[in-house]
Amino acid sequence: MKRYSLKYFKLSGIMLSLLLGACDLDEQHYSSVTPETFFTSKESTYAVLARPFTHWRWFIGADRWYLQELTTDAMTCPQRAEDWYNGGEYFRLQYHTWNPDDRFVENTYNGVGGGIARTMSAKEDLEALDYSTVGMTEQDKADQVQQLEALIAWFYMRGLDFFGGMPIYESTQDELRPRASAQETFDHIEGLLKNAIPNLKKKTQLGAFEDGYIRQAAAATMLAQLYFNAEAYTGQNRFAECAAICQDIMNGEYGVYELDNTWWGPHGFDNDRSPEIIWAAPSKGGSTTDAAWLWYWRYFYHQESGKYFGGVSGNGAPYNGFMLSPSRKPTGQIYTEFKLGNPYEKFHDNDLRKKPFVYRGNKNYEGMFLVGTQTNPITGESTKGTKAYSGEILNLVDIVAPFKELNTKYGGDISKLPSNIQVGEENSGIRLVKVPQPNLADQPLQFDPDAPVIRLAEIYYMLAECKLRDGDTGAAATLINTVRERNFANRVDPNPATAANLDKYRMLDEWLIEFLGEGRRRTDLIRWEAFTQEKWWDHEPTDNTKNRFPIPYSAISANNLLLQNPGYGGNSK
Amino acid sequence: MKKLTKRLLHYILIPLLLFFTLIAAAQGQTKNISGTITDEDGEAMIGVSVTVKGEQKTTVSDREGNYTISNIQPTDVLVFSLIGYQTVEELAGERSEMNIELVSSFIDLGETVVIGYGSLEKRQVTSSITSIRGDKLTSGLGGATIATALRGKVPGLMIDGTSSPNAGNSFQLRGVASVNAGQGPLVVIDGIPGGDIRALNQEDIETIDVLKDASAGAIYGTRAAGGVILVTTKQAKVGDVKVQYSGEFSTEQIRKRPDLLSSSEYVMYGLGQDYGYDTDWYSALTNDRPFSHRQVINISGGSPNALIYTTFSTQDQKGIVIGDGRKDYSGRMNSKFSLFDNKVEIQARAEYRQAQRDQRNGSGSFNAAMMLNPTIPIYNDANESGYNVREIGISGTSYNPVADIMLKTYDGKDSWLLSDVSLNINLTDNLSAKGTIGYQESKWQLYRYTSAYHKSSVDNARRGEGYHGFSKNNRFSADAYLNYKKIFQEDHNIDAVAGYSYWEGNGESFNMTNYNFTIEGVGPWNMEDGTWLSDGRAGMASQKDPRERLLSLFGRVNYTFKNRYILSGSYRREGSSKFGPNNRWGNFWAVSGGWRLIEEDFIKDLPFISDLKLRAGYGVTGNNSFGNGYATRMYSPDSQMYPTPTGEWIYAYGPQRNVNSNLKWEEKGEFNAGVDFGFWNNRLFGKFDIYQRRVKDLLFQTDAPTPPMTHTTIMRNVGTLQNKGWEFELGGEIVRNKDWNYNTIARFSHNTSKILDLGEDGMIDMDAFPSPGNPGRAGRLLNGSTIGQFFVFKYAGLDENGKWLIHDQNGEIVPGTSENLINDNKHYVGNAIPKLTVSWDHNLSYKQFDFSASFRSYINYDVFSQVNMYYGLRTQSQFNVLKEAFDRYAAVNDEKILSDVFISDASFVALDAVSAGYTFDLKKYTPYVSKARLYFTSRDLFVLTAYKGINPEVSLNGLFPGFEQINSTASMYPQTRRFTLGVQLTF
Repeated sequence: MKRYSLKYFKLSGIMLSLLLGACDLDEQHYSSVTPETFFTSKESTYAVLARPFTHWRWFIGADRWYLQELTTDAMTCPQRAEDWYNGGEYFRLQYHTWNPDDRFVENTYNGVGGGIARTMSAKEDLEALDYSTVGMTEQDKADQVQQLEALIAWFYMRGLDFFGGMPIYESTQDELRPRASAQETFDHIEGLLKNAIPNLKKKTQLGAFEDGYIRQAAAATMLAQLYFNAEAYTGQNRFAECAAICQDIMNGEYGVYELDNTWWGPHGFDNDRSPEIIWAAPSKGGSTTDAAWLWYWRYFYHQESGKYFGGVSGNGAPYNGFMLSPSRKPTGQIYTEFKLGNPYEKFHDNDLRKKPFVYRGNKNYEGMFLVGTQTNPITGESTKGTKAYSGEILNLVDIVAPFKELNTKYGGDISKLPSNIQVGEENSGIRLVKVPQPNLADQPLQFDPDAPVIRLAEIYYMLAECKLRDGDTGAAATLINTVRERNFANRVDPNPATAANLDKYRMLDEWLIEFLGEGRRRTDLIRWEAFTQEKWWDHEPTDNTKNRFPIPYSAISANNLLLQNPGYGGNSK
Repeated sequence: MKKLTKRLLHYILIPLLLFFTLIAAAQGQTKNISGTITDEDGEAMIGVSVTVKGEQKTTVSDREGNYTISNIQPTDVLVFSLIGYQTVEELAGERSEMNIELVSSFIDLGETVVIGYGSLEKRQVTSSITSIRGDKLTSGLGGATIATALRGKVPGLMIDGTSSPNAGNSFQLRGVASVNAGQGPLVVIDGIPGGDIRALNQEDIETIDVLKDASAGAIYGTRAAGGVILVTTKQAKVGDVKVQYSGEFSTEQIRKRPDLLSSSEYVMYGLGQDYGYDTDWYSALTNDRPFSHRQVINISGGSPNALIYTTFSTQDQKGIVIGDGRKDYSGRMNSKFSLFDNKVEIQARAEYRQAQRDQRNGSGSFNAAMMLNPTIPIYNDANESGYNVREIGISGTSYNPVADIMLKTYDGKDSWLLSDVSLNINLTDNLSAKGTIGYQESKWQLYRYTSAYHKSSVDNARRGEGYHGFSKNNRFSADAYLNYKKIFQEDHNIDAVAGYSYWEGNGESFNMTNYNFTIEGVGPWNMEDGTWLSDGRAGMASQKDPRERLLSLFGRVNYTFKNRYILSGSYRREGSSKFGPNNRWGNFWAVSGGWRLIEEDFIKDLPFISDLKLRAGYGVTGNNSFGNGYATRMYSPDSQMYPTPTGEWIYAYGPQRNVNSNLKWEEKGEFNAGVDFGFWNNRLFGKFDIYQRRVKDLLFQTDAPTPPMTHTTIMRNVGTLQNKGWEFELGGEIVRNKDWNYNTIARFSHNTSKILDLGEDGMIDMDAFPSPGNPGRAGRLLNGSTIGQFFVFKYAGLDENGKWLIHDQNGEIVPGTSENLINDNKHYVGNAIPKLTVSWDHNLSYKQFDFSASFRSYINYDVFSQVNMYYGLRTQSQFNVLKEAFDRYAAVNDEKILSDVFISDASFVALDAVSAGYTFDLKKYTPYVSKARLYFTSRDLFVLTAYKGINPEVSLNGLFPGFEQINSTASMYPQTRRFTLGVQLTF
């Protein structure tokens, strides 16, 4: 017995030492790093500062853009045979029949919420850092922290615009909150911006490189935008305050900016040095992952459009989807049944932008659309159809109709052809080329242009609209014409705005053509009470509740304090 | 740490002290017993194990069948056992010689069952365990993996897979066991948890024991929620060196192919442009009668003190699809040494296996073959590659699947190292100590080259793409435990084990991609030559997983009274590094009991009953198979770069995910009750089990509120899931005489799984259906959902224009247009989980002939055919369609929608395997070869079904079973009949 016990003691001793030697259950990480050990240099603060901005760059595209454009008279995504029906989700955007679990709505809500939270999280980490330990000053810190404050405000403003009142959080550690009212949300945004503006840096050199960060003028414009749409957001008219800020920006009080001389300056390959850019999402050419408008390539262009563009390939073959809302009926007549819409035909025929896009080499190009016969005038290469138009050189028309079924189904009578979102074909619709595409030789430039989010032209137009609403139509027209001139040869505008012709519809048309495809159309229509009240191609008026999108089910399931917007069933305010 | 130490002392020392007190047993008069063991024919039997019941003492018979065992008391019971033979137990009494005859058995009633950290006699088992002997698996079925041979052999175990040699297999026992964390059973190979069953040769398997319920699995704690599969590899038997060779030669043919329009029909229906060729894309993708073979050589032998078993194998498997093949090489060595009169035993085992994979095809290949216009040619002389890459009728996103495969190289190498060494010391007759160390490593290397002529190269204006990828996982485990066996006063039998276990896992990966190479000939072996590296567009990535550790203490006691009443209890306390410091440790326990009615006098007297046992148990197991890093706040880089204020592009860093420091173990509680029976001298035998299990604190990604959280999902312990079902096995040795032998076994099982609770408003949607068309999701789980229901629109006919009509949420018939195609109008329909699964095996032998057949049937379940939905409707897209588009779906003139028209009953009966063999006794003709067996096996000969899609055997595992998916190789890979000719030579 004694002999045995000794053995057991030895044995249990061995076991215990084994145990204690390997009893560290802490997770050990290799490919990721804890925030506590992350800040070691200037660059590490930039890396954390940049994260909310990469989210923002992603945010301005895709789903958020769809909600701003495909729901309006500017853009549409028709079904093209078996493509793009997608369970009717694009139809629902066109007809304003979206519901709370449509993915565009859900992704947009998550994009807003994630933007706010990520920015708050970065702000908290930077606020907690002693900048002197990484060789930076308190001023650097204030600038970085206040940029994030302004960015939080920007995301909140997008939330207010899409959904109305948002739950207001001051920190990522806050308890769950219910939605604040639209007015409270408005006040919160106003407070954040007013606090941020004086601490931000001013642009001091005209045409200096825009790096994607927020300067004073960008934050000031956000505040102007907030006042500009205040009536739609809260019912309170704040146009006067908007006008004042716009005037200050134009006077250079927030930094030096100037309208670009050319229409393509703010969009071209070197637009990061355009004097007009106030805030733009930086995009890295050549690479396919750090580009701002990458999705444009896939969603607008035809599978074989690379051939027309001169041999470039984007990030894989495009899907041939989005297009400008059609201006013409199957018979070729321009729609006159509604005042909005007809985006392509709203451009004057002399407008330099209303031409097929052609890359001339060396960063020069002309035109802003893929339209007509898709044969490149320089290389002679053509885009050919791959589906119903298989083998034919594609001819993009400003019409949506089932031309291929003309004889089989409609007895050869063009007037009997329907035009609606269901009957798109491969060749339907004009495509926007706001981001220029280089040819194969200049492939490294592809996706290099930054995505402008705020440019000085918007300040001109906001001020013009304020003056129009204030009755000063003449001054409004002058402001618009100042921007318009550059779109015509020798700056001779054949159809300038005048005190006589400038009204709600002309103003909306001006917004439409200058900012076509820049992701703001819905907001402009709502401000003019046109989004739900007006007709356009294959769209009948809906009701006012559609000015706000529903809160997605997933957000309510994550926080059941959130109430649904009116008009979408469920538990609403 | 102090606290932990204290706790450990507590958990280790108490059981140890318990042991000390138990050891105080009387030592009586002892003697030696010896004898000879023979088989039915009177031939000496080598390697029969002789043990003293309830003790550690053991020996084996030598080549003359002789054995000697020392220090035996008159009350001791000697147990003689050998796999394949009925175990014999004899009371020692006053005898000093004991000659035994062993009778071969089919049903293995007396054998031992491996239960984790030890083994038990089958009759002492109180939980639901199915044991399979390796030599009972049909030979010639395995191909590249043994999973195929296991199909249908374990009631309640569903195995997915295709006929591709590169197929993966998913296992699911008794229904889905988890929502988000891992769901498959834990595979334990030779005592080392976490093994990869694909690394094993069928020939090397001694037994496979499947622990189905939690009362058996709880000893494996956290990883046993999906059940446990214990694999034991073979050990040499005492005697002359034995050499065995197996060679198998196989070929296969497609059993069922999709019925697509021919080129002339395609043109006749005017589906698209006529390019003037006649191509059968589906056939172009397949090989005609691919030839595969495998060779296994097995050498084993040794003395009672040193046993060595080795296997070498090689195989070359060709898939039915072009660009699909695999070559394997493997070697295994199992050794066992006994020292100091069997007091010390050392076992060391190691296996290395390498599989070289050619896997150029993918799910997209079949998709392309189904949809491509059949008037487009495969070849085009005008193209430098000789293939029609993107000239005639191919452009945009469509591609020539044959050219896609032929213009690529793919050289993947999977390798596995499994090794373990264990030391067992018999400290006394009753107490032994065992320590095991295991090390497993798996590696994956992939070298890929895509030709400059390949469409992806041409589309992207680059000359070729080269890729190198490498990943590695290694796992280290160490166990130490004590095993105590003792019979007190004849009636009290105790078998106890207690110990400690440590496990660590690490993983890393690296890959690089470069493009645009000057020369084509060297493939991916000149990576620096591609110009995209200097252009800054080459890709490179590396990663190392967080270290994962598991620590645990465990113990189990089995107590049997008078061979009649059995009680068993086990406990494991386990800690995992995946959880926050407050929730690292979990307790897993089980209790079970059995009542052997056969030992009761009122049954004993009924002569037709030969075995009868009732058993019941309850156990708690855990689940931690989900990713690391959910409990710690980490920064990780975004996938995108952003410029610094100075214009330099850097990666942005932010929080990796929402963290949840309160995460804890997912726990499964399972109740199992069963009966084991044998009638008429065990000529009719079987068992029945019912179970109910509840998984609570389900680890699940739920919607997270943003803000305040940065990410839209967070891992939480939410909700409860329930599986309920029964399993029934019935076998019989119908004929047993000198020449004829016929036995049969049928297995039935039934399971339903239900989500009891997903938290308030909890919801899980299945992945969206793929493009073209992106029609949405056809599965949604909510509180109270039964797994296997489809969430789709209900077909209500077609309108006069052939447009869909559906039933809306109120049951009214509305047009299937966009405003109605919303989730609110979807209905729960169908059932993808078979109401009954049946398998029925037959084994027949006559003299030297043997014959076997295995049928399998799933009864009463539905499958949603994406194949019919995507290829069964006419479109104006130039795509080819199934003939059904002009037959069953001829009236439809609309875009596809998620409709229940595509759901149909998939019940089937399949002949999984049929095999016939003849054994030649060559002893009389040659001194070198003693036996030769020649056999012919056919796999998947037929499947009878009324299913409207192509293949009713789709994946039924996981949360969303029952979809014949067009984008999954699992359902698109052709179903084949496979024929194998095999020979086994024993030297």
